[in-house]
Amino acid sequence: MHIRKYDAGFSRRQFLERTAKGVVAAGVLQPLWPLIANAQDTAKAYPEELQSIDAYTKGKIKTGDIVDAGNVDIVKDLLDPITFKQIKEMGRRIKIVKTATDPLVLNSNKYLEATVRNAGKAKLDGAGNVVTQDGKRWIGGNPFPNAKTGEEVYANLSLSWGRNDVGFYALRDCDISPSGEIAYKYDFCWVEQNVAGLTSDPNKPYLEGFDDMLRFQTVFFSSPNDVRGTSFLSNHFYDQSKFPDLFGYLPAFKRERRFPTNQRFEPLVPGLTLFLSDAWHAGDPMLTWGNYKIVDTKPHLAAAGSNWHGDRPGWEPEVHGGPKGISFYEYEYELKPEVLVIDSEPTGYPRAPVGKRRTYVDVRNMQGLVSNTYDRRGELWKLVEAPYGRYERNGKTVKDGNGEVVWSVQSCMAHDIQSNRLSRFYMAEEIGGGYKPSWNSGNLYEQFLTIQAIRRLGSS
Amino acid sequence: MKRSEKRLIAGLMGSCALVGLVMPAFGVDFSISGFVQQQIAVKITDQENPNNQAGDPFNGKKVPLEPLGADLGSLQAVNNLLSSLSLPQLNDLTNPLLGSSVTVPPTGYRDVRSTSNDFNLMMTRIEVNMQAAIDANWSASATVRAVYDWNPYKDVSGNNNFYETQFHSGGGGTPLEYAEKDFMVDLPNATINYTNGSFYAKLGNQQIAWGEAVFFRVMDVPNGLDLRRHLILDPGLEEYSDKRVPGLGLRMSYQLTPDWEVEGFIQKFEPSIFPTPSSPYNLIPDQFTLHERYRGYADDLWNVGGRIRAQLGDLGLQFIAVSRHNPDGAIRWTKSGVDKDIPILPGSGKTLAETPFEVDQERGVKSQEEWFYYAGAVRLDGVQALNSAVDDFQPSTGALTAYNVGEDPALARAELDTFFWLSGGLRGHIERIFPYENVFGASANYVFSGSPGSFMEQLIGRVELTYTPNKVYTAPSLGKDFLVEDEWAFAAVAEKWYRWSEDFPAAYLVAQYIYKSASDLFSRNLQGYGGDENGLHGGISNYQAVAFAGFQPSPSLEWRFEWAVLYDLRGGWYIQPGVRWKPDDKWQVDLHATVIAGKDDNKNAVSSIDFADEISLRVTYQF
Repeated sequence: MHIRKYDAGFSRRQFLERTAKGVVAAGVLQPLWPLIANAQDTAKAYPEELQSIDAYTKGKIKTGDIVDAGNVDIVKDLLDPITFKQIKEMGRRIKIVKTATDPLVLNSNKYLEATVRNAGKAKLDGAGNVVTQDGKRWIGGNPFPNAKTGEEVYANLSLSWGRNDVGFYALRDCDISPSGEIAYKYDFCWVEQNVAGLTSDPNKPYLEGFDDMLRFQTVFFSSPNDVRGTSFLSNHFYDQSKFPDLFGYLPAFKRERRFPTNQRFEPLVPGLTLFLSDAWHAGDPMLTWGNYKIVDTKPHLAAAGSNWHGDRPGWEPEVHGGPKGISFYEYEYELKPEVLVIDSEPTGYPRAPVGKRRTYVDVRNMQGLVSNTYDRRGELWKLVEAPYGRYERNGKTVKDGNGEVVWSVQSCMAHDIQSNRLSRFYMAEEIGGGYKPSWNSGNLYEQFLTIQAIRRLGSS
Repeated sequence: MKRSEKRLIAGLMGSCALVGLVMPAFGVDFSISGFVQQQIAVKITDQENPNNQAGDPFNGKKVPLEPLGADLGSLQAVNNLLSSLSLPQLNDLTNPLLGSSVTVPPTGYRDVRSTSNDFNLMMTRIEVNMQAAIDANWSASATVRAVYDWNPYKDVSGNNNFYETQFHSGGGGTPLEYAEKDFMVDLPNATINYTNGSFYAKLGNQQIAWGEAVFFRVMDVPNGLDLRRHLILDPGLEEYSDKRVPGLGLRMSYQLTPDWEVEGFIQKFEPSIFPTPSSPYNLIPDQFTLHERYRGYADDLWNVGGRIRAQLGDLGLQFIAVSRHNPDGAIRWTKSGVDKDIPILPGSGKTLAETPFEVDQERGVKSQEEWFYYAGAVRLDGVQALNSAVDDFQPSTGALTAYNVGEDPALARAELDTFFWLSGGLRGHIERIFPYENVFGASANYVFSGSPGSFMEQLIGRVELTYTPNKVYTAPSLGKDFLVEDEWAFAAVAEKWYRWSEDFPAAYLVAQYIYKSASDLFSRNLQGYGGDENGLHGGISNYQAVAFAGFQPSPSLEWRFEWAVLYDLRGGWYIQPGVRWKPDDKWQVDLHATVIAGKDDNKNAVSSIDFADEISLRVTYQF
C-alpha cells in the first residue's frame, strides 16, 4: 500500500533531520532493530518508496530494469559518485532486483544470532576499543547493531570482516588496463581466522591462546608462476590502535621476511588496485583511522545479495562494459532503504595517499556496501565494491562447516578512476593450486596463518 | 644443441606433461606453470676476464726471465748455467726440440691470442614448476630447470665449458642435475611435503635460507652457491635465490606456540659450484687445474642443523646451530699426476707428476711476474705459495733442485724464473676439500614505532651474527696445512618503506653493514689480501662493507626502478642500477647494469670481479 505521507520526500527530510542533529535511529515507520531482533521482516520499518525503485522513481525505473548511461541520471542521487561515473561514462550497467527484507537473508545466520544474543553488551572503552560491559573482548555479532556514531558503525565493520569465524576465500582476479584489456591475472587465497567475537558456538567466543589478538589473516597467490607463493601474513591485535604485524614470503627471495605494516596503501602485486587498507572497507585497525563522521543517511542503490553465480561454470560472473566489454561484473542491485554514509580519515598514516574514505553502510546488517576514497587533494580516487549474500541460486547451495548456507562476500571490484585501472575478482569454485573456498570449516591457524605456514605455502 | 640434449629436454618436458595428465585421474590437484627466459649480458668495458686464457694480461708479452737471478743473454752464459745444474748443453740460441723452454735470452712468452668479447652471457632458460596437492596433509612439488648457453663468449679453445662439473658422473653440480658444457638440466626443487597441525616436514631436494640481510650471507649457512649462471651479477635484491645449491634432505619444523617455532634439517652436503674454466665469469686462473675432492671423497656427507625462531611482539629472534661441511671448501696444492718431462730433463716427468706442476708450454704460467700477478689477484702469497709447493711435495721437488726461499722475494723470483725457463711454462694443480665445521648464530629484528610520519616509524632494524670456531681456510701459501681461524660474521640492516610522494607507492630502502673477522664477501681468508710482486704484506685485519639498495615502483607496479650499491671500506665499489618492466602477467623485462670500480690493490673484495662490468637484459615469458 502506498501511503502518501511517507513518500520519498518524507523519508529524505527525516534522514536529513537526523543527520543534522547527529541522531541515528534506524527505521522510518518504526524502529528497525526490534524487528531484526525478533526476526521480523525489515520491510515494516520503511515505506514503500524506500524499498521499491518503482515507487521511488515514480515508475521511471522498474524492478527488473537495466540502469545504464541512458537512464542513470534518474537515480544519480541513489548512487555513489564513482558507480554513477562508471554507468554514465564507462559503459557499466546494473540490473535492478527486488529489495531483500528478510533479516535471515541479510545476515549470516550465526552472526545474526550472536548480534541478537549480545545486543546491548558492548561499549567502547577509554581507548576506543570494543569491550563487553565487564571489560572483556567482544563476544560476537555486531557490537552496535543500533549504532549511533561513526565509530560504532566502524566497530561493526572492523571486528568481523567477513561475518564468519573462519573464511578461506579462493579468488580469481583480473586486472583491467586503461585500454580495457586484461593486463594481469592472478589466483589468490584470502584466509581469515577470527580469534575473538566468534559466533559458531555461543559458549566459545574466543579461540584459546590468543588473548590479545583479534584475527589472523593471510593472502597468498597461487598463480601465475612468478607470484606463486607470494604470501603476506597479518596478525591483527585486538587493540585497534596497534598496527598489525606483517610477515611475507616472496618467491623471488625464497625466504620469509618481516615487513613494516604501515605501508598499507600499496598494490601487493603489479596491477592489483586493491590495497590491504581497502579490504572490507575497513582493512586497517579501526583506531589507526579517525575523524569518523556520519555525513548522510539515505536510500541507496547497491549490490544485492544475489550476486553469487553458483549456476555458472566455476561460479564466474558475467562481465561487460569498458572499452573492450570486459571491465565490469554484471551486478544485480537493489534499493537499500537506509544507508549511512560515513567519512573517515587515515589519521595514523600521515603519508597515506588517501585523504578521505567515504563508506556506504546498510543499517539493516551494518555491512559496508561500497566505498569511495579521495586522494589528498580531495579528488575522487577509487571505488571498492563487494556484494555479500547467501550462496544459493537456482537450487544450488553451498554450506559452511556449521551446516548453514554460506553468507559471504561474492566478488569485488576495485576501480582506480584516476589511472582507470580496475581489479575485479570473484569467489571461484576452485583456483590454481587446487584451492577451494570454505567457511567455518575448522581452525585454519596452523595450516595458513603462521610464519611457518607462509614459508610452506611459498616454497612448496 | 645436440640431438641428445634435445631428447633430454623433450623427455623431461614430456614427463611433466604425462604427470599432469595422470595426476587428476588419482584425484590429485595438479598444477603446472613455468617460464621461458632469455638473458643477455653485454660488456661495457674492454677489460677481459684475466682468469681465462684469452684475458691473461701477459698474452703476447715477452717477459725477460732471470733464472737463478743470472744474466743469460748469451749462449755461453746459458751453457755455463746448465753445466752448473748438470744439465745438457745447447748448440745454438734456439732449440726447437725444447719448445718454448730454455729460450735465449731467457724469455717468458705467452703465445696466446687475446680476445675482445662483446658478450658475457647469452643464456636461454626454461623452468617448469609442478605442484600436486594430494590431500590435506600431503603435497608435492618439483621444478625442472633447463639452461642453454649460446656461447657467444670467445676464449682460446672455442669449446667453452659453462656447466659441466667434476662432481657427478652426469657432469651435474648436484645429484639431480645433468650437465654438458653448454647445457644443464636439473631439479632445483623436488620435494614431498607433509603437514599436520603444527608439524611440517619437507623431504627432497630443497634450498634452506634463514637470513634476512640482502646480498650479505651471514645466517644463510645451510647451502652453498652455484655461481655458474651469471656469477653473483643477477639483481642484488634477488638475494641469491637462483644461486643457492639445493640438497637432498629432510627439513622439519614444529610451531611450539604462536610465538616459538623450532626447526631442524638433515641434508646431503653439496659444495658451492665455481664458474668453470673458460666461462665468462671464471674465478680461478686457467693456468691452474682445480681438482674437486668431492666425488669419492665428500659425496656421502650430510649436514645437520637447527633453528629456533621466536616472534615476541615487535622483536623477532632466531638462534641457529649447524654442523656442516663448508661448501666453499679450502684449496691447496696437490700432485699433478701428469707425467710429462721438462724438455731439457728427459725422465723428469715421473718426478714432476709427484709435484703440483706439469709442463704446459702453451697455457701455463710463463714467468715469475705472471705468478705474482695472479697470486695477488686471488689473494695468495706468491712467495709462500712457492715454498709450500716445494716443502709439501718432498722429496720430488728436492729431486728437481727446488728449494724453500724463506721470505725472500728475490730468491723466489729467481727460482720461479728458473723453472719457467727450463720448462717453458708450468701448470699448477690445486685441490678443493670441504672441511667440517660448526656454525652458531643468532639474529634479531625489531620494528621501531616512531611517531606517525617520522622516518623512524616502522623502521625495521635487523642484526645477524654467526660464530664459526676453528674454521678452515685456504692458506695464502696453498699449503697442505690449512689456515684455521675462528670467524665472527656480523650484519646490521636498517630497512624502510618510505613514501616520498602521494603519487607513487613507497620506495623500499635498505642500508646494510657487514663485518667479518677472518674472510671476505667471497669467503676468502683475509691473510691473503694485499699480495704484490714481492709476495704478501700481512693481509688485512677484517672485512667491512656497507651497502645501500632499494627500489621505487610506479603506481601500478608496472615499472620498478632498482639499485644496489656496495662499498668495500678498503676501496671497492659494486654498483648495480636497474629497471624492471612488467607490462602484463605474461611478460617481464629486467635491465640492469653492473659497474665495479675502485682500487686494484688486491685489498678489496670486489676488484676480483672488476672484469665483469656489463649491462644485462632479461626477458621472461610466463606460461
